[in-house]
This record gives sequence, C-alpha cells and structure tokens, in this order.
Amino acid sequence: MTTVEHSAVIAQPRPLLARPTKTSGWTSWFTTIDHKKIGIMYGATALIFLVAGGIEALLIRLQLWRPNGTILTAATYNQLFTMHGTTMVFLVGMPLAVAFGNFLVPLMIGARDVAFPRINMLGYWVFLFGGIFLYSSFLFGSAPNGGWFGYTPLTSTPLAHGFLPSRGPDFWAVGLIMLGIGSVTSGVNFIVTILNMRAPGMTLLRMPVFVWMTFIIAMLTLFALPPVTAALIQVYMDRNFGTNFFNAAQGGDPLLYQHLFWLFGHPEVYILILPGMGIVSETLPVFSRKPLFGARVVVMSGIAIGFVGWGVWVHHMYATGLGPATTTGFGIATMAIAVPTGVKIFNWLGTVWGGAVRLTTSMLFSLGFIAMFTLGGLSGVMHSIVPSNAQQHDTYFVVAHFHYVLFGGLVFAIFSGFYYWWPKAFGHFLSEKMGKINFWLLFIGFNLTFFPMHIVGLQGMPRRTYTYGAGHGWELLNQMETVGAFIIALSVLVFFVNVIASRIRNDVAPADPWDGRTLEWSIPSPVPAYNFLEIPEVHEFDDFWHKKYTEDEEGRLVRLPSGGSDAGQHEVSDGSHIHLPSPSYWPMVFALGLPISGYGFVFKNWLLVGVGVAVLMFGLTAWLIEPDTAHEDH
Amino acid sequence: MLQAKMRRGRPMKLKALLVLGVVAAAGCGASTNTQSTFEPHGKIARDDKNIFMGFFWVAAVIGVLICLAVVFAAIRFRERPGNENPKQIHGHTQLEIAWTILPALILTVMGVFTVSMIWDQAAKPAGAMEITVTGKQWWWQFQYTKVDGQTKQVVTANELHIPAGKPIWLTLKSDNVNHSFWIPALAGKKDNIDGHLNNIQMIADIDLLKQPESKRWFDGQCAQYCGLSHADMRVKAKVDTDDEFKTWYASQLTSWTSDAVAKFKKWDDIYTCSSCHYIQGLAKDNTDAKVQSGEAPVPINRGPNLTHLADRTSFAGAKYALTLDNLTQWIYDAQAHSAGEFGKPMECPNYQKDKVLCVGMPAFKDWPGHKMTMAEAKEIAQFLLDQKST
Repeated sequence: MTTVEHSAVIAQPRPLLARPTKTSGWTSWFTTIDHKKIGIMYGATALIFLVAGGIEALLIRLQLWRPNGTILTAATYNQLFTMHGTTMVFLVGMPLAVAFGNFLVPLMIGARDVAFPRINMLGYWVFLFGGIFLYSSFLFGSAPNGGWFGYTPLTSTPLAHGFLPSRGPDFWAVGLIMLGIGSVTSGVNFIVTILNMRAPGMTLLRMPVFVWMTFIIAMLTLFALPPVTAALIQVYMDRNFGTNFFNAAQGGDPLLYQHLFWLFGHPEVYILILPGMGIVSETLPVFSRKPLFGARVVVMSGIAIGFVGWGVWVHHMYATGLGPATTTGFGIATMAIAVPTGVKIFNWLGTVWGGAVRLTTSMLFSLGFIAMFTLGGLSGVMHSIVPSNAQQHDTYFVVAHFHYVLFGGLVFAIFSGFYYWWPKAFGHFLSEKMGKINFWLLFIGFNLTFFPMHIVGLQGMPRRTYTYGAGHGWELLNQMETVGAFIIALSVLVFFVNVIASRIRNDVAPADPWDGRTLEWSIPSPVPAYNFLEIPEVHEFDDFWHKKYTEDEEGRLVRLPSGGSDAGQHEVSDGSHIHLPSPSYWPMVFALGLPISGYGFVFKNWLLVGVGVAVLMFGLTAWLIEPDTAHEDH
Repeated sequence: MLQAKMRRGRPMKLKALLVLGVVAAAGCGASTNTQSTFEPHGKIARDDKNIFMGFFWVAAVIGVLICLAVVFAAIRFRERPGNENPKQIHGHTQLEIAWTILPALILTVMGVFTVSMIWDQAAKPAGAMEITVTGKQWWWQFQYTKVDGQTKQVVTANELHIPAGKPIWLTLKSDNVNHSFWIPALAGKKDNIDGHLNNIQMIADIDLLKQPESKRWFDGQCAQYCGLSHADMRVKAKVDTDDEFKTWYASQLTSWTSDAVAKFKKWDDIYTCSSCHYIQGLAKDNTDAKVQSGEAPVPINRGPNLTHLADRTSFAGAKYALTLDNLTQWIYDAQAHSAGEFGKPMECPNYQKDKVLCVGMPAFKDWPGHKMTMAEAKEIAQFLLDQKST
C-alpha cells in the first residue's frame, strides 16, 4: 500500500496540454504569467475603458450643454451616466491601481514575480471578460441604468413589473460580482507577495511607500468586496427568484442595500485614491532630490485612513433619515479621517520644500495632484457638516468633490506614474514636450469642467438628471463644463499620440534615468523577465539611493564614487540560469467560464450557466494538474 | 537626464481666482434663482447655509494657501546651478505634531457646531402643521394631516402651500422607489424610502410676507435618482399669508358639484380616469368622508388628485405650466411630452391588468377601444380648468 502511494507521488501528473513556452511575440500575451506583462495589460485595457467612459462623459456633457437638451433621450442618458460611473470605478480606477501594483510591487521589494503568478493572470482575464460582458449589454439594448450605486428597490424589483424596463440591472449585478472575483484574487496576491517575498533586509518600514499603499488597498479590497457581493446577489435574487430582501411591502428593507453597498463603497474610495498617494510619494522625493518628508508618518497615516475608512460609510446616507445619533457619530468619524489625510498633504509639501525641484511632466502631474486633491479633500470635509450636507447631497457639488479627489487626485497621479515609470516598462522615454501639453491641457480642462460644478450644485442642480429647466442661472456654468470636458478629451488624445510617437522615436532610457531611489531603478530598462539577476540585499529605506549618495555633516548630498546601477553586471550574465515559472493557458479558460455563465444568469438560461461552469471547472482542473514547468525545461 | 524647463504656475493662480469667484458667487448670488441654497428663505435653509459658509471661508484660506505653497515651492526651489544637492531633511517631529493637532482643533470647533445643529433640526417643533409627502413616479403628493389641530385631509400634488413663519413638520414616505424631497430655499433634503418615515422641519421666513405673492414661489426637485423621468420630478412651494393659506386650505376640502361630476362621468366611463386620480365628489363609497375625517389614507393615488387641478399653476411633476394648450397635449398624448418612453410596451407591459405597477400617464390617443380625439382632449382640459374653486 505504501509503495503504491509512493510511486503516485513520484509520477508526474500527465499534462492535458503541454505548458506553453513562448515568452515573446504577440501570442505570448495570452499565456503570460509575467507580472510586468500582466501589469501592462491591465494598464492598456484600463486605458481603453477610460476612452469608453470618457466618450460617455462627453455625450452627457453635450446633452447638458443647454437646458431641455434633446441630444439624448432620458433612457439613453440614464444608461450613460450609470455606465460612466461603473466604468470609471471598476474598469479604470481599480485596474489602473492593479496595473501599477502588478508592475511595480515585485520590482520594488526585490522579487522575481508575485506570489501566485497564475492567479495574477486569472485576475486580469476576469477583469477583461467582466468588462466586455458589462459593455456587451449595449448590444442587447440592456445597458445598466440604475446608477453605479444601483439603489434598491429601483434595481431590485422584478423585470415583469419593474421600475427599470430592461435587463440592465441583471447585467450590472452579475458583471460586478464577476469583476469582484478578479479584484479579490489580485488583493490576496498582493498581500501574500508583499508579506512573503520581500528581499532580505527589506523590513516593513523599509518598504517603499507605494508598496505600503498597495498593501493597504489589497487589505481593503479583501474585506470590502464581500458585503457588496452579498448585496448584489440579493438584488439578483429579488429580481429573478422572487425573494424580498429589499421589498418593503413584504418586510424587506430597501435601506439595507445602501448599508451593504457603502460598507464597500467608502473603502472603495480609498482603494481608488491610495495608489495615487503611493505614486506621488515616490515621484516627489525623486524630483525634489530629497527624501520623503516624514516617511513613517505618511505610512502610518495611510494605515489610519485604512482603518477609519471603515467607519464613515453613512456619510453617503445622511439623507436617508438614520436619526441624529447615527449622523452625529459618522459626521465626527468623517471629520476625523481628514486629519491623517491632511498630514499626508503637509508631508508631501515638506518633501518638495527646500529641494532641488525638476519640473518634469511627471513632477507637474504630482504637484497638480497635491493641489487638486487638497481642494477635493476640503470639499469632502464640508460633507461631514451634516446640516449643510442636506443641501449638497446628490447635487453637482458632490460630483465636483469626488472628481477633484478621483480625477484631480488619482488620474493626475496615474499620469505622473506613466511619465515616471514608462522608461522602466518600455525602455524609452515619453516625450516631455508633449507631456507638458498633456499636463496643461488636462489641468485647465479639468478645472474648467469640475470647478463650476461646485457652484451649480449649490445653486440647486441635482445629479443624474438628463435635463434641466432654464431660468435658474445654470446655463453658463454648464457650458463651461462641456467645453472643459472636450479639453480633457484633447489632453488624453495628446497622451495617446505621445505614446505612439515616443515609441517610434525611441528615445532610449538608461536603467536609472531620473536618479531614482527605489530598487526598480537598479535594474535595466526595460526590465528583463527575471527582474533581478541577483536578489538584492536591503539595508535602508530608499536603499538604492543610499548606494549612490551619502550625506555630509550639514546633511547635504554627496555622491559616492562607486555608486549607481548594477545594470553593468547584466552584461556578464544573460540570466538564463534563473528558473521562472512557465506560461499557462488555463487561468484564461477558467476566466472564460465566468461570462458564459454570466449570460446564462442574465437571461435565466440555466443550460448556459451549466456550460459556463463546465468551462470553468475544465480550466480549473487542467490548471491544477498541469506540470510545474514546460517539458523543455526538463 | 532630462532638462527641466522652468514654468510659471499661472493656472495655479487662476485656480485661486476661481476660488475667489465662487466666494463672490456665493456672497452676492444670482438674484433670481428660486432653487438656490445661496438664497435661503427659511430657517433650516439659512442655518444650513450659515454653517456651510463658516467652514467654507476656513477651507478657502487653507486651499488657497496650500495651492500657493505648491506653486511657490515649485518655483522657489527649482533645480538650478548650485542647489543640485539640497539639504536632506527626513522629517520634523514638532511640525508633524503641529499639523496633526491644528486641523484636529479646527475640526473640533466645526464638530461642536455641527452636532448641535444636527440635534436641533431633528426635533419636532411644538404645534407644528403636519404634512405627509409621498414621492411617486414622477410627482409629489401632499397630504395635510394636521392643520391647526384639525385632521381633515387636504390631498394635493406638486405644489406645496405653507403659511409663513409657522413651523411645519413634513413626513416623507414612498410606496415605490426612493426619492428625495428638496426645496433648497426652504430646507435641506431628505429621502423618501419605502418602509421608512423620515421628517423635515420647515419654517418659511415671516419676512417673505413683505414680498408680493409672485416672489413667494420656490422651486425644488427630486434629488434621489428614481428612474426614467427623475429629472422631470419637480416641485413648487408657495409661502402664503395666514389668510391666503386659510382660504386655500378651505377650498381644497370642497368637492366637485354634482353637475360637474355628471359631466365628467361620461369621459370617466371610457377613459377610467378615476381609477388612478382621486376626484372629490366622484369617489365611490364614502371615501370622501373618510379622507376628510382623517380616518382613511388616500385611496386612489396612482395619479395626482384632479379635483383642484385648476387651482395649481403647473402639472406633470410641476414641469409644465398649467395652460389649456399644455393640458390638452398632455391628455391627448402624455407619452410624447414625458421623458418619452414610458408608454412603450416594455415600460408598462400590463397596463390594463396590473395598474398598480404601471407608471405614467397613458397616451389616450391610442386608448384601446376608443381613441381620443384632439377636440375631446381639449374639451376635457377646458372642463378641468373650469373647476376653479376661487
């Protein structure tokens, strides 16, 4: 008996198909498990969705150009604002954070890949298929139309006598559940990678701030997705199986949904903004040639935000009548979270102050981030004043506020990150000249679009309205916003032109083009598949910087004669001796099962659900029994 | 290494100017906006504005200072020959403590004011007039359930009448999706949620009585996304003198004359108007008596109460002015004048079988069995406008 078991252990499981081996060429992108390639795919896909969400925004702005606009019908408008919000949060904001995290975290902690490369690949394909699934709803004339927040009972009443005359809410609920699976897998992956795969000597407090922020968002993702997933399943069941979770007439409670949604939704806001905070915490020190001011305080305040962020969700619900005790508590919590946020802003300013500032495109975007995020933060504090929130809630003032945080904040930081790490990812610079045009157009367009929204909101214009009447003095401000939106579009276009032109021009980047501080600048650009020829040993925060510089008695920088990139050693060895896991087909097959059963759930076709589950199980089984590496390696 | 070009931070300064712009807009205000939080005409709205403006100034100063600091730092500390190697400052404990404590202090002051106002506004004022506000798809129903101690119910729609200076206690509810009742000049908003009862205090300024009647009308609209026609779900409030209010209140309790009821019946038999619209005098059983005594909730409220439509200035969620032409068009083909699509089969699949769940006014020009003519629509509209009580 023991013999049998023994031989079973020794025998290699028979692969269903041999593992793919190609790591270059276009087909390799479908099977890659390289965290850098997956990061780039996340980024590229998110940018495509950014264009889709942007086009939706432009149509919205065209409709609101003048009172009683007739460019869109109410039904189309409601679909567009729902999809704009859903796209920007789930298909642009979160994936961009994952893109940067994927590409950078292993490089910054001195690892060769993430902890679970195939789960990482799964996360990407789930995201891509989930996004396509959501957008395919347009083909069925059933784009989601209940708002990105999908309040019940609007969304949860059964289709036959429903308040929303389409399968939009089904597409929305099923699509978001699917995307949530992808988010949770990447969250788990980041947590394990960051905790377990740091290079020797990289203690938690020696980790770059960007890695810290990624760690916090991964924790938030892990705990925030379950409540919303439960809520979405309940919405789906109310609509399709006759349950009454949110049906007040049968003892359910529409308000329950809002608690579950915002218990996710508010941490989600921090999931979206913390990566931006991480990015500028890397760029500002480099372009100021000074260490991050109060680096530990910046990390601690990030952790504080991560905790307090769980206790503020009701500030989305002050108008729902939860009573003075509830609003008092959550009002105070909302004010409290402004403190660690403010601390971060002051520390970033302290970083720039007294430095040697290089106004590169990346730095401009980072400085823009500080200014715009500050304004968004201040209007956010205004929401904690519960009585005045009763006037601001659900108006354009709120639209202005969160665009200052998420666009002025996150998107500016993302662009800063693009210009900063582009050379590392692709081996060439983006054009600084076009970059500056990119920045100034975005800066002007952004403020022209969103600043007037503060005013028009306080002048009484509610959100999510497909039209407005003349006579309230809203016309001019709305026209400014529409013009601004097109300037933003132009700016994004400049960015895409820059990407293509810079690729053609190919201004080759060295390993350490910005005089960087973190480990990724110690290896060649673009990064070889194995990342580090030798796993580095870390002695300090900003370890790479301290290999290049020391400080004299007055605290001034002194360059070490021997310092710099160890890129030279790569000429000695091509790294072919480094064992890397092989690519795989199966996570993609697994992911493909999800939209198939998704369509089954939306159209209540249980056979199709079964087919999807079968595909998924097939992919999973093949994944489990495939050999560790391709045969060629043996 | 890339050559950094020096740039002036002009648009950042532009930003500061814009901040000042909003202050100006807030301070002076556009004087004709009847839906603005900047022009409060009620106690709650004024308190909301004052506490907002108090913090706004603090925030404006902080915001401008930080933006200016960013611009200043970018220019003053830009890299130039001689300062390539700046002093390396890793942090400063006293500064960290200072910029943690200072904002916390500001927020504490703000918090004290906020909390006291929260509790202030949550209390029901003694002797308040009580009105129940029901959010419908897509119009508002008002039931006056307690006026000067009386419980006779006035049932009306889309136009709220309140006496100046008197405390009002609104009870918000919904029997369908969520809505949010909001008249910015009078009070902040609160949601109408099925299964929940919410309240708003409202006290219109007594000063308003110095204004002519036409200056005592205020606009609002539903603030919570409630489906297709959310943007069309508007509301008006009229602040009355005591006498105006008493006259109006008494008039709303009256029923149609028997002649009027008889005349309307011939249309009602064909188009079943009264199956959705409450009409005092036409309602079956003893509904009228029950409503007047406050015993029964409104029995028929799928559409607005039509009895005193003629006394209102607008209809269809207060979106259209009440004119003969508008009303004729609406009765003839409401679908063409609403958000446009709620009469299509998908929207209202079981109009005849399942009226409870159907929303919106049908297009009577396509009424099954008896297509309405434009002339007929005009006749009905004229009839409704003739039922003026004053």
